Amino acid sequence: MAQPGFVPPSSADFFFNPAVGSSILATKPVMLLLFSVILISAFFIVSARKAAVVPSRLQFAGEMVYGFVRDGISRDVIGEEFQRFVPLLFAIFTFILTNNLFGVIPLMQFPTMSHIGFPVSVTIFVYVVYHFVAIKKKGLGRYLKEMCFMPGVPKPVYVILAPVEFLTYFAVRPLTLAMRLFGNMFAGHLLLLLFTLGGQYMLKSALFVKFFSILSFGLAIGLSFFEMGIQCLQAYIFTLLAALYIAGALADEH
Amino acid sequence: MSQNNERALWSILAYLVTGLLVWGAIGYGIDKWVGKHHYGIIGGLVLGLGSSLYLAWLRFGRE
Repeated sequence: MAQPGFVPPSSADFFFNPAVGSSILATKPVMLLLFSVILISAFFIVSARKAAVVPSRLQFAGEMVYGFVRDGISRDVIGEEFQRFVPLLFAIFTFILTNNLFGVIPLMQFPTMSHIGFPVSVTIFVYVVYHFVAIKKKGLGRYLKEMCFMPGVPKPVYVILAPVEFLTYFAVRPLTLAMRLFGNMFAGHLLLLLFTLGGQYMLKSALFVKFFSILSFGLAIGLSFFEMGIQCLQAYIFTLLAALYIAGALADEH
Repeated sequence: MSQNNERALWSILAYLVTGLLVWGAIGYGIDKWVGKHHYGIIGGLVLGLGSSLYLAWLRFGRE
C-alpha cells in the first residue's frame, strides 16, 4: 500500500510560478489584473463610443453598471457632492467586480483579490481619499476634534473614548475593508479547490468511492454559482463602504 | 433613512471591534507588566465593550 493520502489544498496553492523569467510581475494574479484593466477599459470604451439616445444593447449594459454606481451607491450615500466621487467609486466597483469574477470564469479561475496585496492597495486609495477630503474640508485640528471628542460627554470619559474613536478611523476601518474582501475571496477559492481536488482524488480511488466523486464535483459546480453571488456582493459592499466613509468625512457632524 | 441605518450598522460593528481591541490590549499590557493576575485583560475587555456601546449610543442612539 503505497497510496499517498489526500493532500488538502492550502495557501500554497495560491502562489504561482512566473510564466516567463523569474519576476513576480509575470505571475498569474498580476497578469489577470492587467487583463482586467484592459477588459474593463475596452468594454466601456466600446459601449460608450457610439452613444445614442436610443441605446444599443451594449450601451445599455454599460450605462446600467454606471447608473447603478452613480445613483444606487454614490448619490444615495454621499448626497449633494456625489458627482466628484463617481469616477473613483465606479473604478473601484468595476475593478473589484471583474477581478472577483475571474474566480469562477473557466480557464482563469483565480480571484485576484485573494492575494492580500491587491485589496490592500485598493484600500489605500480609499483611505487616503477619505482622510484627505475631511482634512481639506474641516482642517486637521477640527477633523481630529470632531472625531475623538463628541459633545455631551463628561470630560474624564474622553480618556476612555478618544482612543477607541481614533483607532476606529485610522486602523480598524481600512483593515476591515481590506480583510473582508481578501478573506471572502480566499475562503471561497479554497472551498472550490477543496471540492474539485477531493472529487479528483476520489475518482482515482476504489470503484465504490468513485461514485461519490460525482457528489463532490456537483458541489463544486453548485458552489461556483454561490461564489459568483458572493463576488458581486463583496464588490458592492467594498464600494458602498468606501462611499460611506467619504460621506462621513464630508458630513458636518453636530 | 435606510442609508443612515446602513452607516450606523457598519460604524457600530467597527466600534465594537475597536473598543475590545484597544482596551483589551491595554489591559493585557498591564497584566504583562504586573505579571500575576488576569484582572487587567478582564477589566480591559469590559471597559472596551462598555465604551463601544456607549459610543454607539452617543452617535446613533441619542436622536
